Amino acid sequence: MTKKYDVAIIGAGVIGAGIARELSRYELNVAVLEKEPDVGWGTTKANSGIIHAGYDATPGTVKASFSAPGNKKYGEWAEPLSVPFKRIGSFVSTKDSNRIDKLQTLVEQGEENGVEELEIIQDREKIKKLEPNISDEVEAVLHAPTAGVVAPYKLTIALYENARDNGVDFFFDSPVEGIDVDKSPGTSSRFTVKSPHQEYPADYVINAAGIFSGKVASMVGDESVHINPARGEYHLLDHELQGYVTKINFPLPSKDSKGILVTPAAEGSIIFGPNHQPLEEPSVATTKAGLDEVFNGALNLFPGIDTSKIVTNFAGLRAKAQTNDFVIGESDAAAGFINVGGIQSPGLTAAPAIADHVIGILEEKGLSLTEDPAFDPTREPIPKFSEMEPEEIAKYTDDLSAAKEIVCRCEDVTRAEIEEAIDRGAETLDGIKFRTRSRMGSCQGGFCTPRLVEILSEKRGVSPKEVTKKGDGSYLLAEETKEVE
Amino acid sequence: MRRKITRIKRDIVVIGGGPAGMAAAIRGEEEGAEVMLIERDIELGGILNQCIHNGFGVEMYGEELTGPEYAERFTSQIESSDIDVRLNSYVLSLSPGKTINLLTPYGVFEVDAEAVVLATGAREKSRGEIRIPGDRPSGVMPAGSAQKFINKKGFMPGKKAFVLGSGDIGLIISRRLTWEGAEVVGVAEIMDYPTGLNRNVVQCLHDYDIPLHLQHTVTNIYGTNRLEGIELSRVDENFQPIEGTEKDIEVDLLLLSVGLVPENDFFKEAGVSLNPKTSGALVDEWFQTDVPGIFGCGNAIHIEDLVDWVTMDGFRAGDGAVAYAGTGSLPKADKKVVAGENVNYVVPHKVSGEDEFRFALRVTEPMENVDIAIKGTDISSFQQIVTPGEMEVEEVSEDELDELTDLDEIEVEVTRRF
Repeated sequence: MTKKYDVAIIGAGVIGAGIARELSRYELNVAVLEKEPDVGWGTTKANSGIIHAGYDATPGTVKASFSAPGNKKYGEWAEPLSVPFKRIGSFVSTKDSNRIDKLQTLVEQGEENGVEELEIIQDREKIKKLEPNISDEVEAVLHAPTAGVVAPYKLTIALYENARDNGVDFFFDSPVEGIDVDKSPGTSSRFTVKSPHQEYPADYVINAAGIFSGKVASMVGDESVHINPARGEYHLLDHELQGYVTKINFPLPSKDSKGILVTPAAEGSIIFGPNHQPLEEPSVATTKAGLDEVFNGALNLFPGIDTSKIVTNFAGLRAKAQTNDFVIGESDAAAGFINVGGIQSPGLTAAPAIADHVIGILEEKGLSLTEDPAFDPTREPIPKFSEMEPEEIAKYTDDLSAAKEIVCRCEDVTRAEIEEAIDRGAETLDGIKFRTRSRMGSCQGGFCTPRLVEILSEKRGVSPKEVTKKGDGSYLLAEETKEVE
Repeated sequence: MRRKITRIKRDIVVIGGGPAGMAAAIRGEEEGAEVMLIERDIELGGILNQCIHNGFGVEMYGEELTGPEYAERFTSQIESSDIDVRLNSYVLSLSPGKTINLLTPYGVFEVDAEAVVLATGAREKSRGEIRIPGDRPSGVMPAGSAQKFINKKGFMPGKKAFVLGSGDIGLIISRRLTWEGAEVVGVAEIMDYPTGLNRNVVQCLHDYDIPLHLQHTVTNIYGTNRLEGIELSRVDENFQPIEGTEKDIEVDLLLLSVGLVPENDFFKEAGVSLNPKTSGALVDEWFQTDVPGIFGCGNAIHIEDLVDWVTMDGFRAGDGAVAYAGTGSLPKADKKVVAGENVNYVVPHKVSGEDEFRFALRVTEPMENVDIAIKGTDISSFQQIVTPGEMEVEEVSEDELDELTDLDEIEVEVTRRF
């Protein structure tokens, strides 16, 4: 018999997975449907990973109301879930002493939004003390110590694992193709969410489909959600430059340019980006002009940075609503259908606050919430060999032969970590990458890919030809070589 | 109970069991030193093991051997020696004082070495480093990865390939793919000359009618999941794509052979100074770095064209390590060797002038009828053709050392004779 769900969530990005994890505190049947083979592969996986202080959203917008509260809640997510998150603070810098009043405007805006500890620094010595390699031409900065960085894909993986451990059902490779709505009063399941493999009856549906949330909303007759994708491109530098940049560095936006930010990511490597390219259709292809723009933009604040250490470049998408604000609330077209769309920046920051708010909406609309006494908020990370001291390594590897084989030599990832990533749900090379950092280092998988293909095929019991980079046709090996007599 | 880390001592520790490291270890042991040879793979030989084509050993043995055959000459000698070989073993750290933390299948060791030889080889440049824009599908990989899939794992990474870069690995993989029944549509090179050995251009491309597109590069990559095609463009003299020359080519495999970079992490960890031109360590005539007792050889110092030179450098580094481990010092190398006219870089970076030595250089552009000379001396040799794709190696003999006595700086230059 088909399982009936109290809540079906469409989309397993940081929003969908976050709501699922928060709902797993209660005695509820919750399903998450994801079109990709893994969590966080839409807008979540490729963004700046910044937990904004909250001064940049215009007061009065939905964005503003969730930014600072989201920021404040981050520790409550990152700590029990063991996710890399650091409050490293952010700088908004200007080289033009005539524009310091613009920094003051941001301070006022921030205070209105509930941001604490904002300060403007004009003392160059102090600026250089906090950020030694920043351009000498910087005249003033807005310092926001509460801003931080998180690894968005790792956060989403952790939310997923914790939600799953607490009883949420996840369905991958499950694009939603239609939603039936039963509007007759008194029916127990108002919605039937349909994917190619299965139907999911549910009382409530959360539309957290990112770029595709407009499309999903229209499945219940709601034509009010309009999402336009906008691409942002990035460069990632080798981890050997760790420490060269210590804060999240934004240039003060001018009327000509929003500027390129330079920041250490939560796992240490420096990133440059993003630019802003509105698109008709979603695409994460990079462009020469875009990569050049990001490259040159980064040099504005850090003219001395060693750009020969760029190891990769990529693009991510923003799900930008026509209103340019978050679209959160029950749809006018269908009671019990909650849209959580248009979650562009600062969506990652806002995610914990959005999850709480959505649960509040569900309760208000009649979902009864009984706390599950078995709920466990903690999730153990995969032990990270690269962060261990030799004594710990001696102990850790003693009984674990898989930990004695280092597969990814750039990031020091062992076979034990890779096998555990697969055990925890990674089915593709990208899935392993986001969980372990293998293929993220200086050689970008040049050395370890053949071994990773072998391990993945052995663990999953499939031919190496069936191993993919990211599912759906992204195979690595076309055929066997010729037989040798 | 916390497991203890075992402490051991060795005269010489060689890190890396490819051709450079094997030669250094063999020489060290022959000269009476206690040598440990560390290799992270399951076998010695390094990248030679996947180079099943022939052409190795012409300078060393006057024979054309395959990679595994060439390696076997050294592994068999090592097997019958007292060299302490550690396979499946990883160096966790190397201190400037030459203490190594080592993870092996039998536990973690702390090894105190008198001398250390870093023979860590090189890695291939990735797509990100050269910033090719476009989609990020599977089917784009360094040529060496494809070589490993085909020669060691028995799988073809694609059926219709394009190769970017005319380095030796790219040329050899083009022939290998063809033999395995794949179609190689073409090879592109951003320079106006091939960057691999001429013999490989002839034997791997011309013999199979594979077109070589000089002054071209890949400017876009198509395919959401699997590679579907590339855009090839002609470049101008500043290597910028020329608008209007774009051409789409349908392929399912793009191999990158766009250069190698020395694996220099341990040099950095040990505080060794690097040559920004090669990314390898600065070394003297015994391949000693500026951290006393730390040596380096092979592709970890600079990218060599023939394995024979790698082996010879390994022997020399082994000699140096033995001398250092014995006496704790070598003659002071205080004469700087610098790249003069038409020379891109030269190794070694300094010499003592007291012992015969060999220097290796790469020129900045292809030239004909040139003299390779040390400026201000009669030390000179004539070459008909020189090209950046081929390394030039010259010896300075015992008899010629007198000519260097008064020089503080040895400037190596390549000049056209007529």
